[in-house]
Amino acid sequence: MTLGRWWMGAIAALGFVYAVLASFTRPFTGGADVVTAVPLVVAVLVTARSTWELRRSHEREPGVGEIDAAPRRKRRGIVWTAPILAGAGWELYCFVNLPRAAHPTLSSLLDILDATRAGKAVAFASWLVLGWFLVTV
Amino acid sequence: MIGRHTTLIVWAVLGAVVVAGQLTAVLSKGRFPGLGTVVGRVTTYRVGRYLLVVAWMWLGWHAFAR
Repeated sequence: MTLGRWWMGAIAALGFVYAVLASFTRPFTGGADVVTAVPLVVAVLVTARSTWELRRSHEREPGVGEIDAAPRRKRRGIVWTAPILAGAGWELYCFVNLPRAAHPTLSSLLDILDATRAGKAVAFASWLVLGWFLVTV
Repeated sequence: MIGRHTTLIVWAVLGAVVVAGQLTAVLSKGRFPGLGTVVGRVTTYRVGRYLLVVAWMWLGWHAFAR
């Protein structure tokens, strides 16, 4: 999906304001449910649209450079398997071991960040950026 | 028995590895793929794209709503 610089700036500003707004909500309340559900609905719509665009773009022929470089980059990408598996394994280890204070999971660490309004705004904004990347990449 | 201090150190090391990998990817100017490239490769498959989006949705609901 290609957006102009003006649109990207407007979306970034909107996301920032929305994250600040979300930082005023508390989990297990109607306000938190609504403020979290809105990006989920937007993500479903954008995913549907970008999947349709991706299908259309597959109709074009790949360039010579793309064909040559792809397998080499693919092999190097395997390096990321080790830290991803290590992180997943450590999360699982912490999850099955109690007390949680001695074995904090990623959720527990995120709760520490969410404890302050500024921390929650940063966490929510990061989540929005990650979601935008996933649905538009 | 592993304590809180050790657990946090392991999380910090894992975070540092990810940051170092990302920095390497940026400094190598595309020769070494970053996490974004790997995720981008997964999303070229429709199933991979849907799984990652669903995982992102669960993360947001778990962290901010429930």
